[in-house]
Amino acid sequence: MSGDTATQKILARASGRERVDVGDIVWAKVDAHVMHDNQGPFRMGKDFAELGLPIWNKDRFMLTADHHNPPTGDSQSKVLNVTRAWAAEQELSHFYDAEGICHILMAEKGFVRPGVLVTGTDSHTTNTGALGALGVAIGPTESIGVLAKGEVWLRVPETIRVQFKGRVPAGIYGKDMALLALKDLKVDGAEYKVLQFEGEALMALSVEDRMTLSNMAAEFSAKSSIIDVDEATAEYLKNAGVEDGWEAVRSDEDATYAASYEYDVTDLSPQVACPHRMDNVYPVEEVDSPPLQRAHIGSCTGAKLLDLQAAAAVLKGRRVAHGLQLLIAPASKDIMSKAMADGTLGALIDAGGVLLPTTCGVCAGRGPGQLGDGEMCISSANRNYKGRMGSAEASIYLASAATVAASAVKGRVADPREFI
Amino acid sequence: MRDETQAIEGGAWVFGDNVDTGYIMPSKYASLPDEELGAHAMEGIDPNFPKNVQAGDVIVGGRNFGCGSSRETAPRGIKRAGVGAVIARTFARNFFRNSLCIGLPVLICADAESIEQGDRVRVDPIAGRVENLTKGQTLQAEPLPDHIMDMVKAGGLVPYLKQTLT
Ligand code: SF4
Repeated sequence: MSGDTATQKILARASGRERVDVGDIVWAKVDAHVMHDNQGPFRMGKDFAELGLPIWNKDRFMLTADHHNPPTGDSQSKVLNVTRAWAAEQELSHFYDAEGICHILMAEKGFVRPGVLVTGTDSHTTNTGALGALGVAIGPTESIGVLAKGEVWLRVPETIRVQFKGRVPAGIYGKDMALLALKDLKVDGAEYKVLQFEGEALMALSVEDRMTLSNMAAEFSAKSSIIDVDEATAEYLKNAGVEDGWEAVRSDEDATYAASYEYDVTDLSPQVACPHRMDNVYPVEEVDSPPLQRAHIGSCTGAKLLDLQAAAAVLKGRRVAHGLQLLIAPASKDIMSKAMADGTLGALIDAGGVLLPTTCGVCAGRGPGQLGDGEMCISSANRNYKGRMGSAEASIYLASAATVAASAVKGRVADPREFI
Repeated sequence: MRDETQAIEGGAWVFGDNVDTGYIMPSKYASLPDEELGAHAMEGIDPNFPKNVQAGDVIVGGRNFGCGSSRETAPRGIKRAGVGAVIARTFARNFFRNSLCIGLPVLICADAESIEQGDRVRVDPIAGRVENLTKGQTLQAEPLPDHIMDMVKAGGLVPYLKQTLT
């Protein structure tokens, strides 16, 4: 008998079984659950009320108001007010109103522990993989089942192994690695499967930057993602208030994988996803873009402290190009205050950056800064299909925050290595 | 809710591979109430769809139908537009689960691509059968586990939970 993947072990544990096989369907206990305003009370509040059941565990449930916050009109205000009223009515202990983007808050507030199962009403719930947890997306209606029972049914998925080897060169980030793999595996490359990211180059990244990969597992259509736990993870968890009560879960040496991919990043160039697909990826030197009107450093993927710092390193003492607007939306208030304290935010603003709220905003196609017809944007977010950030007639390039910053200076897609 | 005794029958609307939920229900409609979602179903990929779709029509996808964001407004909009069922070679898991939860029949059919735009199709979600009346072919959908079939028969997760939990 061959060994088990980390995913098999997590699901065996969560379902109270000795072991599980790929293809088994299990009822698994959820360790933590998150719901946001866009896929929350506005869609499921009435149905949940009809069931008349209490929330299974309020200490392990987080509700965020991040997608429609602050609202830009009547319909968004309605969603937000329904969300707030529901949080009050349910007497939630963890409701975060414009404090940050759900996936980042889940990690920051210690809701994610290695070896556990997490569910969330958002496709990027895969973000938990960087902390060694299995995060799976569900919808708001299914969320009713989790809130009522603390359980979810899952099919035990196969795992795809993606190894990053070599030394990470200057100017290269988790985003470049994610895009490199996406180019190869494509947007449907991990359908119904878990992406296990590993290798010395990956583990050389900070935990925040590993999150860029686990987050973007969603762009490969993966069910979830998983990354090994090391000392850096333990340190991150400690800062989030998770000192003990967790045990790392690792894939066995002889575990079976659906596929394996290997990349050496030693000579990797910054990668750019060109319009209008996430897997339409080229090295930056091969991208000859038209002039850009917008650069965006934001979202749960690309506005963590390390992203803001990487952008600031490029922008410090420089100005964004004439005719281009740079938008900055830190992924949480905690990140924003740290970036304020260490001068990062100042450097970005001095360079011409416009500061936006610590919520989804443009990434969700909402709030100020949405793209108009014909506009060209480069963003550190995760999706670039038509209409994602406003007009369906706009075009979006995706890259690391450093590449976004370099492009903001040049007014066209540009290589950050020239600036560092 | 769909009347289980009535067969789903209508014209086929064929779309390709990797149809993103952002095309099925563009982000800008995320804050619309349920009743208004139908008027924008599939708008991001075919602006004429909401105008021309008839009750009972069937959407046919290729691979990975409903990928991208896990927004439930995607299947909700399709259902509100009057679509009777969605058939695809493969579905993205979020879209698939969301559809079953809200009571929109979704069928995984290896031969989905044999159906052409405008073909007359009859669907029996409980038997997992798709009849192409235009071509005289019958396709069999991949069977679903028992506990999911119970939910399909109940018409979605909420009615199912009502039966079993309360
Ligand atoms: S920032 Fe973007 S990708 Fe992240 S949760 Fe918000 S809308 Fe989704």
